[in-house]
Amino acid sequence: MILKLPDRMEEILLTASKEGVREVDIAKELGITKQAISKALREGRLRLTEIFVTLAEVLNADIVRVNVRKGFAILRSRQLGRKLYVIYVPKKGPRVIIEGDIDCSTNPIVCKEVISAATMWGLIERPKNTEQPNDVITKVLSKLEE
Amino acid sequence: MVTLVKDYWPCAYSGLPAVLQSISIVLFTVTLLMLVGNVGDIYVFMMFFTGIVLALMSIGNEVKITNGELLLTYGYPFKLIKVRVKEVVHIADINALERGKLFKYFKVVLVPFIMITAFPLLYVLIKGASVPLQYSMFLAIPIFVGAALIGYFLVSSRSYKAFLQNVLRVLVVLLITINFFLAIEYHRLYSGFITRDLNALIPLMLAEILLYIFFAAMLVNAVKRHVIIVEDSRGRYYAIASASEVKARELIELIVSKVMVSDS
Repeated sequence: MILKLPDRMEEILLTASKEGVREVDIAKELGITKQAISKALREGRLRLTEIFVTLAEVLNADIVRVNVRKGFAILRSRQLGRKLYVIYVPKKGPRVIIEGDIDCSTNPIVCKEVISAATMWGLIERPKNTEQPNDVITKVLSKLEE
Repeated sequence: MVTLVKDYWPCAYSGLPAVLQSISIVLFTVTLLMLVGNVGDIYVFMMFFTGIVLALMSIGNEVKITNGELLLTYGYPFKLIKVRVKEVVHIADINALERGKLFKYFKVVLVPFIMITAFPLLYVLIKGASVPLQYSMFLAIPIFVGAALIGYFLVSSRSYKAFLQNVLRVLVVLLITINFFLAIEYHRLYSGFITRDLNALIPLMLAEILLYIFFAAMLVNAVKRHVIIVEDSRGRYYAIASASEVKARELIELIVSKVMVSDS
């Protein structure tokens, strides 16, 4: 299974993730019918759930939380006993952060992708340039735990 | 079709069941205040009976997954209210989250809890010394129950256990102090010992026992039960209580595989 959604589907899901946005608004913005948006949203969310379920199986983990509106899931590894934070990064696919194992100096690309995705999904505000990536990641994970 | 009955119960935290439960909780408190205030028996009975009926109507009875939908049934012994949840976009075991608070998803439920905490306090403020001594402890029940329930919704599962332990400590100290002053007051009023007057002693002891039973139940609930929250595509939230963490995990997997990954 390819753990990546089509670009158009990602665009619709990201637009729908914003607070207070209705399907009619997305239809107007993207220039397609409301019915097509509803169908794409249903399909996109279903495919995103499948991606998280596949990851849970591959990582031998239990599902603690799945939020396809906001593009993330929290799993708990059966072997490690630790939480695995999964965020779907548009145009890339899902990225996993292991609880208590975050160091942006050794994984700058993953950190950058996760921060960017969290901003796109509306989980956090766009971080200021002065903020340290580790602090922003902590903020993201804290948000996922709310 | 999958039917789950034994280890899951829909919670009355949203929609009509929440309204019915809220009214019943307020009615029970008003009944209690009427009893303490010696208001006519027929009104007390009517209030209490209505409260019982509404409470039974709002009890979570059954959780079913059928044709890609989640079906929550409320009402005991008869299944009166059926809530269909389609297009689930978010599911979480709130007790497994570090900062998961029920208040974020179910704000309205706090209203009756605040009311039952405030009513007896207002009653004491208005009535003052004319509150009958033997029933005075009953007024503490809604105050502590309300405070415990507000805490349950406002803090995370981990903090709630600590919160409950602190409330229990406060409760023990407070009840010992109240008992001491009640005994002194009784002696001042009737020139005798309260321990020799069963008519006064029994209602006081009964109220205290009821309080301890409630907190023991809350503690068991806080340690064992897990609450799963479910959000549909319209942004409506629902809650399901499970018997244990393992059962919560099983239900999440079922909902994810049978409801979320279903294009029916």
